[in-house]
Amino acid sequence: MSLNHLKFEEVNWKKELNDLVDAATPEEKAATEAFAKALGPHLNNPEMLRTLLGKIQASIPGDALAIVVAQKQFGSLDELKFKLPNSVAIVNL
Amino acid sequence: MGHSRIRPERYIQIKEMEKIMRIVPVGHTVFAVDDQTTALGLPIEGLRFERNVVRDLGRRPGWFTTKLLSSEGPLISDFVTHEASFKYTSYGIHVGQDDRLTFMGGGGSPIRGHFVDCRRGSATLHTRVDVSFSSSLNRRLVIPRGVAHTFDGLERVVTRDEPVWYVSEDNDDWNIDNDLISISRDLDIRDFPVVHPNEHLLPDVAHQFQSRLSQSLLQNPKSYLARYLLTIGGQEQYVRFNYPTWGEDEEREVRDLLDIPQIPGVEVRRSRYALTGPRSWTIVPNTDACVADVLFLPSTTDGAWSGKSLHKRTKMWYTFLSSEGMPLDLEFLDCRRDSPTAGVNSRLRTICDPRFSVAIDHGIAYSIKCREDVLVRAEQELFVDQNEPRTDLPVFGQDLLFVDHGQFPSVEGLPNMPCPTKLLRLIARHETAAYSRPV
Repeated sequence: MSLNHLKFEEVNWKKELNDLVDAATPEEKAATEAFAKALGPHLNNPEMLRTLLGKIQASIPGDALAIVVAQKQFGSLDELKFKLPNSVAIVNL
Repeated sequence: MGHSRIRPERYIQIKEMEKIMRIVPVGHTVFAVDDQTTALGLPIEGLRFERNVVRDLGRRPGWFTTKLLSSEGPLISDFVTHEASFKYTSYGIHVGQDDRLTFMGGGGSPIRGHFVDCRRGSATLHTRVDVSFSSSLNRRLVIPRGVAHTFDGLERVVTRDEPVWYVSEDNDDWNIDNDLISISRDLDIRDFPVVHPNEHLLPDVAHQFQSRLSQSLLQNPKSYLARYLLTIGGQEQYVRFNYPTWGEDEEREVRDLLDIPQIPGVEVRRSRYALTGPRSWTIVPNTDACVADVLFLPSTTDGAWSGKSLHKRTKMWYTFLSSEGMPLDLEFLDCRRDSPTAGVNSRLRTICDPRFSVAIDHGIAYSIKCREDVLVRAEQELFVDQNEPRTDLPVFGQDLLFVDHGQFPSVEGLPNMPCPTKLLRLIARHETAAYSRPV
């Protein structure tokens, strides 16, 4: 049996998370509960989860997003959307 | 550089660092760190180099010479490759993650790191520090959460990150799916955001849970979202952007890499990864234990040893992180007496590419050759037998035999019960502790 290459749908993540909270020592309790509180809603809607990683991405030549966000202040969300190229979408506000 | 309010010599602190530290200030805020320095504090609190745990494996031609072990802590690592034209136009701030970065390989050009302290309440808030250094297996750069960072000179460099995660309740600056805040490199430092870093250290078991979950989400590669703090209608808010510009050729290229004839006891699988650039990837663990070492395979020269290596308890997973596109030759010999393909020799000619991993069952002898030096991620699955102790099998940590060319070391009764990941992680922790001690 190989233990590798998990598939999301093959694991009961919610149960494992609950087990983690139940098994936490007093020192781990605050962290584990905060973790469960932050992650729990995402596990109910897995489409909200993407990578669980944070990395700086490489720049894109002529990066339109970089040019737009350098402005930093916008009158409205519509103004921001209007300035974005079609290839860039605003996600999950 | 024009941003300095710091006198570098004021901040050079040896404290409890175990090694003599050397630092050469250049100009106002650019610190040049020499190759011998492995432990060093820098002028933003918590920003520092630490010594890695590295094992010399000897000089047997055709075999790995150096092993970079996991550092103490959660024992979880990811790897980011950087293509030849790699550039960053933004800084990133982690809210819930201390980065621990080892810079490996590359062309030998200096790497330049730029750091800005963005932690609310920090004595060095909005202080900028620039550091020039070279890649080295011997040290890692620790970047505390809340410190903005970006780099130049990462072309062809592979970074190992061993993140340490922190959590908080109700921290508006934190997003658990992607805790990174992006900042344009053109922004004036006074306008950099001021953030609340998360407070509570996540226990190791929760680190492993998060890493396994991440692994499962990357069954198909994805690009990251970018998250910026913007002012919309007078109110500051985080806005996430998706710009799916990469990956058009991914499926075809990876299909070609995986299109190989069947080899007894060998699997070639797509690695789990996210897209960091058009041809740059974040490689996450393949195994449940989420533990990996880095092995250095020197270039193979003519006349090198032509034997093979064999494990009796360990299934090895290798991922070829550097020398992308270089031809890679693997040879296998099925040494399992009870296998229908016992004694069969097989060859695989492929190329170095981190988007696939080769898994080699215990009982299969193998050799790996490349004409360039290669950094290889090694992951393990261990097996035990119902009737332990098995004195005819190597003990854990010494499960390596060398088989000379022409030999056929027929092996039988190999263990087939997977070792619990908890035990595998314990073994890794012991190895790190053992080799951390001064000789």
